[in-house]
Amino acid sequence: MSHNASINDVPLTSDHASSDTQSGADISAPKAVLEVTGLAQRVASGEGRLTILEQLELCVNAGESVAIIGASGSGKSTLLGLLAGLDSPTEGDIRLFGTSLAGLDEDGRAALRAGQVGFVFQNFQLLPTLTALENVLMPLELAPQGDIEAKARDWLGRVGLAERMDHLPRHLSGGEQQRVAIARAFVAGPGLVFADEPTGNLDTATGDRIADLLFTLNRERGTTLILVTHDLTLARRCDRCLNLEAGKLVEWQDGTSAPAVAPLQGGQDV
Amino acid sequence: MSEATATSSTRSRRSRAARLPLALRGLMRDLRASDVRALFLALMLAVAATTMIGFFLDRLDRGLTRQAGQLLGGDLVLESSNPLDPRFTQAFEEAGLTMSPQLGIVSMASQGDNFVLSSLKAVSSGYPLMGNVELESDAEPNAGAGQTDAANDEASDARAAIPPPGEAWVVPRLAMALSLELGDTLTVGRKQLTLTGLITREPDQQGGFSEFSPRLMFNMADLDATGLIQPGSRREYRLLAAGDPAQVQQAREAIAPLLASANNAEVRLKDVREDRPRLGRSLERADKYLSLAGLVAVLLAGVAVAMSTRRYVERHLDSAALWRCFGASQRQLSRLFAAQLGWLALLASTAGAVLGLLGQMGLVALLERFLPLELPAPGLLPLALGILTALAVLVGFAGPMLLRLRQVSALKVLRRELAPMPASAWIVVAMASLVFGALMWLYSGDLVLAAGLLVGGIIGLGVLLVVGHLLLALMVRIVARMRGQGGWSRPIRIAGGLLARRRGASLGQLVAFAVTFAAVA
Ligand SMILES: Nc1ncnc2c1ncn2[C@@H]1O[C@H](COP(=O)(O)OP(=O)(O)OP(=O)(O)O)[C@@H](O)[C@H]1O
Ligand SMILES: [Mg+2]
Repeated sequence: MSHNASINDVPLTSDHASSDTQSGADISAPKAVLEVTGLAQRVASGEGRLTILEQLELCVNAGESVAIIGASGSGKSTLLGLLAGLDSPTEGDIRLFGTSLAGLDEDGRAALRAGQVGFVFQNFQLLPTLTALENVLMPLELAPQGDIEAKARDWLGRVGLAERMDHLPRHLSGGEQQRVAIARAFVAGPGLVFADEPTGNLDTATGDRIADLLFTLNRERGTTLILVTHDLTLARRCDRCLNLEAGKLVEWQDGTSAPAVAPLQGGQDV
Repeated sequence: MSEATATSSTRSRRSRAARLPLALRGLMRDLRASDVRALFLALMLAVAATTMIGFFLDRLDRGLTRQAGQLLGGDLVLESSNPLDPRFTQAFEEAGLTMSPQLGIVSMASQGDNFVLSSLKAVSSGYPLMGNVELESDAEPNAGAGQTDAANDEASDARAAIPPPGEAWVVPRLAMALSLELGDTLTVGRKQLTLTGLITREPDQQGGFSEFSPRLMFNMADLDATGLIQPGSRREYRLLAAGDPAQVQQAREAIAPLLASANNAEVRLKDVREDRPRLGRSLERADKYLSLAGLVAVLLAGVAVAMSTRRYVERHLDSAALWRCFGASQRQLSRLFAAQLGWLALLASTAGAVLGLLGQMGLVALLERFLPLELPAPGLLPLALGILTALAVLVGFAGPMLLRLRQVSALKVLRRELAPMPASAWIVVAMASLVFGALMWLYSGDLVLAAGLLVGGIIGLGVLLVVGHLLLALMVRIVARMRGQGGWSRPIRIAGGLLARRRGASLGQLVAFAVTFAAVA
C-alpha cells in the first residue's frame, strides 16, 4: 500500500468552503451528495426530552472528505445515523444523493443506501462466522452483478489482504480487521462512505495506516468520505473539519482554539 | 507457480459455491457456528426418532392389515345365506375393486362307503384375491407329471389358481379320512370330482360354521352339477373384494344404503381394517412405548431447538442490522432468514430420515423374533410425517424468537443496545405448547389424551416456576443477610448474587431442565 497520502489539500479546502457557504441558498448545487437543513433530534430521556441536535445545517459535495469532531456524548454518532438514513430526525430534512429522506420509510431509506453508501465502524462489525472474503462479499450479495467474488478478492488485494481471504475475523489483527471492513465499505463502489471512529480501536501506527488507506481511496475513487473522530490528527487530514457543539456544526480551523475533544488519541473510552 | 494454481483452484471451487442461492450459501457459512450445528442436530434427531418409529409402526400396521386381509380373503367381504343382491357386485365394480364370488356349503364328501362331513368351498376365477393357495408340490396339478427334483425339494409350491372344472383339492386330513390318493375320484352331491391337489395352506380359512370340518375346494362351474343348492341346505354366499383404501372407502359408501335395506338384513360386511385381529399384548405395549418415545424425542429436540435458536437469534441480530445497513429491506431479510432456516430444516430432515430408515432396520432386526408376521417394505408416509415434524418443531419452538430478526433496526450498528425486545416468554411457551399438543394429537390420534397431557404439563411447569421464584427470592434474602460476613459465605454470596441478577435466565434453565427430566422419566 502506498503511504503517501498527504495531510493537507489546501486548494480543495477553500473550494469546498465556498460551496458550503452557498449551500443554504442554492439547494440545486449539482455536486452535493448530502444536504442537511434545519436538522433537529430530540429523544425522550428520563422525565424530560433531551435535545441532541438543533438547527443543524450541512452540505457535503462529491469527492469531499469531511471530519466531524466533538466531545464524547455531543451527538456525533446520532448525527451519523441520521445522515445515513439509519434513523429519522425529529425535525428537518436530509437529502442523500438528491433524494429527500423525509418522504421515505425505513425500507425506502435502505434501498437508497444499497450499493451507494459504505460504512466503517470503530469496532469493525465483521461477522465472526464469515471469512474475510465472505464479509467483503456481503454488500454485493443482495443484488449480485457480474463476478462479485472476483470483485471482493480484488478489493481484499487492494487493502493488502490477498493472503488472508479465507481467514475468520478472530484470526486477524485489529488493523487487518479494519482493512477488511474498508474493503467491504468500498467494494460496491459507493458514492459515500461513513466512518464512525475508524481508528478508535487501533494503536497510533495502525490507525495512521488505516487513515492512509481511507484517504487514498477517497482520492482515487472520488468517494465522498464523512468521518467521525476524536482524533484531531486524523481530522486535520480531511478537506474540512466540523465541530459538533451544542447540537450544531461549526467549521473548525487548525489554530483556532482546540475543541473540547477528549481524549486526543481516541481509543480508551466508549 | 504452485501458489497461482492453488489460488485458481480455490477460485473455481468458490465460484461454484457462489452459484448456490444466497440463503443456502449463508447456511453453509453459518454451520461454522455451534448454535446452527446444534439446531441442525436437534432437528435431525427429532426427524430420525419420529421417522424410525413411524417407519416401524407403519410397516407393522400394514403387515398386520395384509395378514388380516389374507385371513379374511379380501379387503371387504360380504356374507349372506341367500344369493347376494347383484347391486352389491355392481357397486364394487364401479368402485374399481377386484372381486371373486364364492360359496361355502357344509355337506358330505364321499368315496365308496366312506362319508365325511366337509366344508366345501366353490371358488371362481380371481381367487384368491390375497395370499396364495399352497399345495403339496408332488401333488401339483398344473405342473404336469415330470416333476423335477429341484421342485420336490420344496415342501410346497404356491399357486394363485383354482381347481379346474371336474377337479377338487382337499386338505390332507380329508384325503386320509376318505383313503384318497391323488387321481382318485370322490363324490360331492351328485358330482364326481378328481382329486388333483392337497392343500397345505389357503387364505380365508375362517369360515363361520364350517370351521371344524375338513376343507374341500372345487370350481364354481361344477356347482350346479352337484345339486347341492337345495332349500334348507346350509350355505353361505360370499363376495370377496380387494382394492386400494380409496376404492374400498368408495365401495363402502356405495353399499351402505343397500346394507341398510330390509331385503339385505342378513347380509354381513367384513372390513379388514375393522375386523383385524388385535396385536399381541407385548407388541401392543411396544407400539405404545415407541409412540411415547417418539414424542419424548420430539419434546427434547424442541427444547434443544428453543435453546439454540435463542443463541442463533442473538448472533444474527448483528448480521441483520448490517444487512439493513447495506440496503436490505425488511422483506428481503425475512425471506433470507426464512429460506436459510427452511434449507436447514430440509437438510436436517433428509439426514434424519436416512438415519431413521437405518434405525428402523435395526429395530426390525432387533424385534424380528417377536414379530408374528413378515413386514412389507417401508412406505413414504412416515417420511412426510418426519419432515412435517421438523417444520412444526422449528416453527413452534423457534418461530416467535425468530420474529425478532425482522424487527432489527439498522441503527443497531451504531448503538449496540438497540436490540429488539426479546420475544415474550409467554408467547414462546404458548406457541411451543400448541405445536407440541398438535403433534401429540397427530401421533396418538387421541385428542383428549393429548390435551390432558398438555394441560397437565403446563400446570406442572407453572407450579415449578412459582416454586422456583419463591426459592430464588428466599435465596436473595439470605444472601442479603450474609452481606458483611466474610469467610465461607463468600462463594455462596457470589453464586446467589449471580442467580438473582439473572433471574429470568435461571428460571428458564430450570424449566428446560425440568422438561428434559420429565421427558426422560
Ligand atoms: N435514542 C436515544 N435515547 C436516549 N438517549 C440518546 C438516544 N440517542 C442518543 N442519546 C444520547 O445522546 C447523546 C449523544 O450520543 P452519541 O452516541 O451520538 O454521542 P457521540 O458524540 O457519538 O459520543 P461518543 O464520542 O462517546 O461516541 C448521548 O448522551 C446519548 O446517551
Ligand atoms: Mg459515538
